[in-house]
Amino acid sequence: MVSESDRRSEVSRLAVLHHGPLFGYCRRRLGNDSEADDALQETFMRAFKYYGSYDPTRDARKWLFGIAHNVCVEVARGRKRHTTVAVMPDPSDGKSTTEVALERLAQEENLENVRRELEKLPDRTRRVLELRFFGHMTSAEIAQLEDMKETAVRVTLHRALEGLRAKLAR
Amino acid sequence: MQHPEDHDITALAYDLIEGTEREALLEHLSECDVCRALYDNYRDEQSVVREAIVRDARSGAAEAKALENTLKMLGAVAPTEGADTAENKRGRLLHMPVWVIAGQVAALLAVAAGLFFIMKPDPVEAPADDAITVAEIDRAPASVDEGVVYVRDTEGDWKQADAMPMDEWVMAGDSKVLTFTMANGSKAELQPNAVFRIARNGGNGDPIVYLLHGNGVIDTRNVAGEIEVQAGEANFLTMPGARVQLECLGEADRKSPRSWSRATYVGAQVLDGEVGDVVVTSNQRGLPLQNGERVEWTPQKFEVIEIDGETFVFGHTYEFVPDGETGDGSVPDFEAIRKQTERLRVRFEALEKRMQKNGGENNRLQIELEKTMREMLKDMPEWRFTPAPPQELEGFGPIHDVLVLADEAGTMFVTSNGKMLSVRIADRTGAVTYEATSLEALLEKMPENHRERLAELEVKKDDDGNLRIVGGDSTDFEENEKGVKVKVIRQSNESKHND
Repeated sequence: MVSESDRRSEVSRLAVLHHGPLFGYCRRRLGNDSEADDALQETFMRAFKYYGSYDPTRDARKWLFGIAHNVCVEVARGRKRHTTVAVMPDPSDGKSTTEVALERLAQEENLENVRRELEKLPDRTRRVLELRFFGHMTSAEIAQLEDMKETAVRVTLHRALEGLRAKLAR
Repeated sequence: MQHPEDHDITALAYDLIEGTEREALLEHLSECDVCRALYDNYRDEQSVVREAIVRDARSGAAEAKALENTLKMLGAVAPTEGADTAENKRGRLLHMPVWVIAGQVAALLAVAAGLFFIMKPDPVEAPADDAITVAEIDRAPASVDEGVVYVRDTEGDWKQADAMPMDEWVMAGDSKVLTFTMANGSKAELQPNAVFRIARNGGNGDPIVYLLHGNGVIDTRNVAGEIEVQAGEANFLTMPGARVQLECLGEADRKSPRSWSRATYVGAQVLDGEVGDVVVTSNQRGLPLQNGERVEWTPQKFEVIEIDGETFVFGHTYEFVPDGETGDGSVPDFEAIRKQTERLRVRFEALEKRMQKNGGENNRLQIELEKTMREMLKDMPEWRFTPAPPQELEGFGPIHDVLVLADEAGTMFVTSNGKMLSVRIADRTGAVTYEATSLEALLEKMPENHRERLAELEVKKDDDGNLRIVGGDSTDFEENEKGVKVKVIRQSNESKHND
């Protein structure tokens, strides 16, 4: 039995380790820093509460992403209108040299086009990509989270990307 | 041959598949060019899609604030709250009276600051009874996962410590590999007796690892942040998703380590991902390294080339040879580079004007500027680099002058470091370097056909006794801001691109 204090400590440690990608995922899902901040807190609140059900041999990051995913879905459902997830960088945000270096991965114009088309994808498809890129999840894990068959995850993503390719090729 | 479904290839390219299925698909790709081509396309696409999704969602300042709030919140959880509903808890959490939070903030911040260390798993080796206690405030943003660390006591003797100190030389224990996790989640694994220290980047607060001596691995595969590594003359960032193997050799004075720059040889092999912002000595740039690439450095050795006003610097232990070595025998197309650079410069200047209009505060424009600079760097596809073994060169100081000749016979770099002249001749067969302390001696060492290419070269000593290149094909050398005189000439073409 893990003591209250140990549980809090361990969850805090997980927060220090994993807050970055989790926050990025929540921000991407919810569209703004403020709600992402709340969602991150809620995620770790639930992690604290349900820590007893966590199997330490599992990847903590994936466990946390499962929680964050549910939190984001609930927050989005609770809205009267769905907010678009188009996230523009806050000009006041300090960009690290890494972020600047990452810029070279693609031509800006191309990246803008890709981003624009990604925003048009069905929400579920975007979630698949976001869970992959932020949470490092596999199609099997995403299928479990999204209550889909694994093949359906792959087919959904593939079809959406085919559409994306066709649009970008024009 | 039965091909996998397209959606499975997509899933593979997007890393959605693990285990035996992944192995089987990869095996198929290794035998099937059609599927392999498809996979390669999807893989390229994946990196762009990933970039489009991830980049703008990350914000260091907002993340830090969210973490702080989360840690405060966790500290504020009452022991009996486990029975509450999530909804109730959320409501209470997000609307907790200010005084409740305020009453606990000080204690919680202390908890937040120290949590990483207090809650770390026990080191495999328990601290010795007489272990030096590192005060919480003096601890580095890193917790030991396995192994032990030693710090120097007031007598300069190494003693086991109970935690990793901040900005102080540390030695890994002599019996076990030391593994530790840094505050941004990145990991390091250093071989026994490695000497290093950890500090924080003054700008973004990220950990910096100064490696004085020893081998190890820096792992930022599963974190969003990067780790700056300084080892010898090398300075680089391991990017998110990267893993880098380091070899750092030097005559580290273990009794009294003074400076990271005393490492005499550094090798870095990128095992995963990418290493960026490679810098060899201060204020000079290098190229990012991709997965699988390796670079080596020795002190004060680097290559400088200026093309159209831009200075490019590369690690000296990388041979700098034209693409001719691949078989086509061509020399770099300076004219094409000039045109492309000109186009980018126009864009650069327009961005600079916009920056000035905005009072220099617009980060997006700043990024644009950086990107344009990087595009300029990318205009070097004709060059390739082949690793060369590190060499010792006694008394090699800063390069004073550089002369670059590119003609049908290949490319030649003539440099002076003040004390010694060096000429590096590269052609389709490889590269060779000759060095001498006078022009006469240098010419004597060179093959005759190359000697003729330097017929117009003039070298004089300046007032400080330094050898300076004052003539070549032309006398209109330009001095850059570092005092390096540079002239790029092209003998075989009527249109000298610097004209």
